[in-house]
Amino acid sequence: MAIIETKKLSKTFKQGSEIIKAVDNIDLKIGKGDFIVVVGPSGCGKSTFMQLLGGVDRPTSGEIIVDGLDIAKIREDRLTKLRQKTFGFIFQNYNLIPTLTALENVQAAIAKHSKNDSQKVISTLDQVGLDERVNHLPSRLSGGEQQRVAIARALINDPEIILADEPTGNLDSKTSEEILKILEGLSKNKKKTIILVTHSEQAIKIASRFLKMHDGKIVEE
Amino acid sequence: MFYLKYLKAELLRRWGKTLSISLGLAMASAIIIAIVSISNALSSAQKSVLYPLENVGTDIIVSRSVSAENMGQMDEATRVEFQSENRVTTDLSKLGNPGDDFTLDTFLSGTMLTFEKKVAEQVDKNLVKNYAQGLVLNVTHQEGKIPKVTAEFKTGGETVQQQMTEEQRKQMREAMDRATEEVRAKGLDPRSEEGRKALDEALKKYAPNLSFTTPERIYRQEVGPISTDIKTENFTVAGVDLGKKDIGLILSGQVTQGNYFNGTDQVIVNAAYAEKKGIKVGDKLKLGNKELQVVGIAEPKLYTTLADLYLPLDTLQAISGRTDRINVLLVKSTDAKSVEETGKSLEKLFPGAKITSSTETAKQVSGSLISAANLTNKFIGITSIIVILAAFIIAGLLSIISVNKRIREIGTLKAIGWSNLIVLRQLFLENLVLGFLGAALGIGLGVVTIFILNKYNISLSVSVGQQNIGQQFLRRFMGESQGVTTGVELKIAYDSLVVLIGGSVAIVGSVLAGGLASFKASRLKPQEALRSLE
Repeated sequence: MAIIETKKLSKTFKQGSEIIKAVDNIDLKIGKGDFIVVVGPSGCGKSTFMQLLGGVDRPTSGEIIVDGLDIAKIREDRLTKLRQKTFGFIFQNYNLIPTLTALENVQAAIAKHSKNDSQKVISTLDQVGLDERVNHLPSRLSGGEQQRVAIARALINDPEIILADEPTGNLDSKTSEEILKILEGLSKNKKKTIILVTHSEQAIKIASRFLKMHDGKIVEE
Repeated sequence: MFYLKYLKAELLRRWGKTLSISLGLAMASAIIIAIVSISNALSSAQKSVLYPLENVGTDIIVSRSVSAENMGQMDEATRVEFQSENRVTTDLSKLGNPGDDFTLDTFLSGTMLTFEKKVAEQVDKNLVKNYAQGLVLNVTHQEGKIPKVTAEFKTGGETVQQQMTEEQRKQMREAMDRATEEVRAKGLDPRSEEGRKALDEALKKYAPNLSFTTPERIYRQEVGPISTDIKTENFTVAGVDLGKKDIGLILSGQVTQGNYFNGTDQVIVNAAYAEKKGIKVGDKLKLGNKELQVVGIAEPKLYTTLADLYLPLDTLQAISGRTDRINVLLVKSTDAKSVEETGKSLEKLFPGAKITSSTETAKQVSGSLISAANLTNKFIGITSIIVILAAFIIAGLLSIISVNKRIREIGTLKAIGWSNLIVLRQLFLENLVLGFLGAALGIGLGVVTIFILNKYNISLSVSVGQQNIGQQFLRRFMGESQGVTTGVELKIAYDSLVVLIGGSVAIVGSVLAGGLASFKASRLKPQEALRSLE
């Protein structure tokens, strides 16, 4: 059974008088535990497609069915809750809150706060290989360390789906490899569904499915 | 409480932003506190000067003052009264023997004629809440030595010649010839000094019956105006009605040193006069035939600077020979609205009297204090609005800049599941704390500003303009100058309400202006927030 299904999914933008089809009529089924890598040239619509899947953006037309629910039509507050519980987001620029420490950044994403927050965060950070420097501000961490914090933040609510938008785009090859290994582990060991937008060749190798996008359409699978 | 942790992190780790926003708010808050406080100080200073009659518990003064301009139009009876109230006749010879020291005080009513004190008892009790009698007199004080009033002339002792007969003339000529001959025989020239003397001697010998000497006499004659070392000095005395507590020419509250009257034969001295004359509490002053004890030094307000010395009414009436007479009636009407009506009723009761109300006296006052106060009253509203708007704009702009810098942060928070409300709560709390910080800093700045301003002892001038109806009252005692100017020190008070208002400006400014930017940011769709940085 598909965890995500899109039906005639489209997203258009207006740029001056020109209408740009960022996502053009995509029908796709993503199964639970799939590790999907989406590739394609810059501006082909892969990031927009991923944001639609994660409920960050709303489509112009079509359906996005997550766990049997069309998230294109639900209210903003329900969508917010869904984002928090079902999805984990990883961004290219890490998007950490600069005034919060590594630990606090992960804490910021916790849906239900409890007394064990800190322990939970520390164990999640440990899971992604960051057992030290948890009380450092993002500015004092390396790119790889920051991305580990971002991954821990994406995992803190134990979501079923991880959406990663070029998570290795700003990292050197060694660090990229380490990050991809973490994602691979999540897929294999934790049975997380991972949708990864990337340019990385290495990523394609570890993926269970591979999608190539061009001009808003999936041109190859 | 993660949101508190985040709040603390945001405020402390972005301390530059925290400081600049709260300082901006503090400035506005301090300006409001300073402006409102100064305006209040000006208003109260203005009130104390503009409504001086109220300061002596009065809103109407009744007097029989005749103005110099009306002198020609006075009826005969008033003219006689005016002259008798102001006549100075001095027979110094009655004060002692020539050469003796003397002091003499003459009490004059000036243009304020006296009237029977029992008239005061006829006031309409329904309109008049309280009244006090007063007697204000000008004193001409003379002291020096009693001069000799006579001059001595000594006459007589000259030798004169009588009218001669033909026979005597012949004898005279012969005597003259023989005398001349005798003088020449001595080898002297009869025209020389020595020759003339010898000639006189010879003449007495040859014509002994032809001349006689007048008897010596002494005449005494009165001389014109006396010119001696007598010093003359003028000052003003006021008789205070001790029967009244809250109304009178001077009240106990105006005594700055010593005490208010607690008996007769006492005097309270105007601070300015005391300083000029070196008079201290406990000194003795002689006025007329009485020795008075200085019990207090007073600082009367501008309009009440009527007198140099204040005495119990009875004492002054006795010294000045004006028993049971007064020339001022201070009236407090039952309520502020009935002042005009009370004035009219008093006019009927005292035909020809001058009725001066506090509003009329207020019109006579001008000077920098009045200009400043009028200016502030006129502009305080506009200035405050401008400052408040400026505070809102500053806080708003800083918040917008700060929120705009955090668009990705807000987008990320929304993407990871923060609702609009939680984002808004976070930003609202930040603005609230910034507002409180700004308020605290602003109150501190405002209080320091007031402290500094008070330290500089800002003094504003107040002038009492041309004398008019009631101004006779002032002018007569304040010299002949057209106006009287005095300084009023600006005392800026620390008013908790003003401080509260000033602080609220910072808090409300921050919450409202920052809130607007925050509200907008909280409603931003996460993809827009994330996209805006791509």
